[in-house]
Amino acid sequence: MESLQIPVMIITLIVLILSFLLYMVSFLNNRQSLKQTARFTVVAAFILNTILLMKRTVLAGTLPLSNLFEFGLFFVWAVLLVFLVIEYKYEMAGSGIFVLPVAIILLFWLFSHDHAIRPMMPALRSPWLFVHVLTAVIAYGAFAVSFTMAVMYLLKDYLLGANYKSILIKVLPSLDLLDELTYKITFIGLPFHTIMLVTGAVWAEFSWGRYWSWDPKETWALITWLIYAVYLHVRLMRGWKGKRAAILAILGFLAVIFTFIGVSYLLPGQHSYV
Amino acid sequence: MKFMNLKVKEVKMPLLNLLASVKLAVVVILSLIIASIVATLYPFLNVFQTFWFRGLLLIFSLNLFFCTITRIKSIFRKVRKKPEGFEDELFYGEHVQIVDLTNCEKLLDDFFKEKRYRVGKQTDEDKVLFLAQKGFPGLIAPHFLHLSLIVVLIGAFIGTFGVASTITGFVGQKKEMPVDLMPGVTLEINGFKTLYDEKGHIDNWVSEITLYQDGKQVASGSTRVNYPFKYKGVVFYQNAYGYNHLIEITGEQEGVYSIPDGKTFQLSGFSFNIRYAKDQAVIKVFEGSSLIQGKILGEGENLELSDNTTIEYLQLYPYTILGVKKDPGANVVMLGFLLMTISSTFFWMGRYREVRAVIDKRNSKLHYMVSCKNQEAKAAILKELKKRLMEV
Ligand code: HEM
Repeated sequence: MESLQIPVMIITLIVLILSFLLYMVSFLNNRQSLKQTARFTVVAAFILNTILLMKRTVLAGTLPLSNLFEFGLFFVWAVLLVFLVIEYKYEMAGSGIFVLPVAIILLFWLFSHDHAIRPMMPALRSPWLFVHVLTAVIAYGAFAVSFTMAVMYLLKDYLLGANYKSILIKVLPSLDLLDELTYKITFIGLPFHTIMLVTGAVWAEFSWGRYWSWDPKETWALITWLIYAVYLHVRLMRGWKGKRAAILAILGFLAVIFTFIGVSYLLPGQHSYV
Repeated sequence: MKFMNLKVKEVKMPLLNLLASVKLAVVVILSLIIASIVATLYPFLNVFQTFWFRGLLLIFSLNLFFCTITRIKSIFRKVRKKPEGFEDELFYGEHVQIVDLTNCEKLLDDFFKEKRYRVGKQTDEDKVLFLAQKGFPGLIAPHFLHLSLIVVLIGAFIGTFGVASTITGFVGQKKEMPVDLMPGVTLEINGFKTLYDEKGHIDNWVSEITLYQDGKQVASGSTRVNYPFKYKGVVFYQNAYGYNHLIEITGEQEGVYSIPDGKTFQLSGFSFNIRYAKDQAVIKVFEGSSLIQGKILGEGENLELSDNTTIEYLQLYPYTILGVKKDPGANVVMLGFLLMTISSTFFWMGRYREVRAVIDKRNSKLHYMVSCKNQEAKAAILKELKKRLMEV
């Protein structure tokens, strides 16, 4: 059973690449039918990813949330989930070209990880783990999608400013919608991030005897949280919507990536198992 | 007196305005971000313990506090708002001509009821005023979150008066608790165990402990990872553990020894170590660097090292390392965390929306105005309302 994981992951990756290509082609030719197929393939990739997670749950006997690989699988899952919701709600198929690479790169990167199911270490055997990691995953998924909206914003803004006659100008949604969506998704994602920080701290209080130890991973999660807080607050000030806010949303996601990947390699601490 | 008042206003208000401003919040939060990045890249700078970092946290707390108290009034005003005094303002909003006044009133009643608005209504002879409100959690969410952050910060501040320490002890040993934590209390370590799950993987480590106050037993229980033991505000954590081995040597260097797990010793021209793994003690004997003997040693078993020297394995001698701490602010922090969680869920309950409407009986007109920070939701309410009004 465990050996089936890699084939399922490979198929998921192929399906995702296929949907990315479909989105590309459908845009270049503006073909509605292809957009439908592209959406269908993302749903298929999402289902495959869900199956993979369910299978691991059965094999591990608990929700698979105990290492970087498992967290990564959930991360990809959440990115696809948030993307599907946005795509469906706002008919923003164009965003597929930008969001899917995030999921593809993440999934591709996961291949280099140990995918064996290992017993969970005692410190992780706590009900707090589930709330902590699941809220992190949803927040990160939301931030990944808000990041791509911000990238699309800056790209469109640049193309418009430079008077390019690019097809992308037509393909990309309006600047207002992109700005609004970056904001909305962040606004929904941040409370998840808040709950992730809080449950992590409560858990640390029970487990390490300190709710906050300025461990690099938790500090970077705090930095991420603060960047998004700045993002929301600058929008309360005049003249801060649009470009400058988009840059902050991008910085926020770079902080997410650094918290998720960078810290584990570069700044070891108590969180070193994830 | 008048002059004094003026002065107070001139001098103090700008400071208060600054302290309550979002601009300051952005600057302070950005500074916290930069400080934290520097702190993780250069841990030796001990940024988080510095005076200026704490000063920054203080400004942040004051900013949160003043920001909240200056804005909370307007929130209360909104919550307690009555359907009165807004008719003039509404004449600038949208309006429709109506034919059937009673039907229009009923339509609005039904609309607000169906959409679960809280409705306030005031009727007089020439007009009917409607105030429909919904989404109070969304309205108070940011302020509630800010307040909970203040609670956490206060708790963390109180926590700086706390004490933390560690106690290392062998099973069977009694240890005095640090005086600043629990004066006159002795801790006895009754046992230490590794627990396994049904698949044979380590599930947890547990220490059994008893506390004595002036020689009298006052509490006893167990502490394990994720499930600490608490007594009178002092919390005991299972931090770490280790093993020693009690052995008796006869022959050369005779005596009873307690040796640390895995540590190598010289005896009779050999070197040896004992390691505990999977519920067994294994002794390994080396001559130079080559292994010449390996044996599982049960309690009371012997290993003959040389003609005249024997090692008898008496027993495993585990020790446990407990973290002990008293944090007078911990409960406040936990309360703050709980409030943060509740307020976070409020953000998902939708933005506050308010519909104000006046039926102008004299001119047979309905004026209305929708307010909501979520533009999409606002447009949807307007669309739905217009659609229904078309039916009248
Ligand atoms: C890290 C700390 C903070 C977090 C996580 C936070 C979080 C939030 C969130 C999520 C919102 C809602 C944003 C929106 O509606 O788009 C908000 C609004 C706001 N925040 Fe903060 N905040 C923080 C610190 C501060 C500080 C220090 C101030 C001090 C001035 C402040 C002032 C405000 C104001 C005035 C609003 C608008 C409230 C409203 O819509 O009625 N915040 N905050």
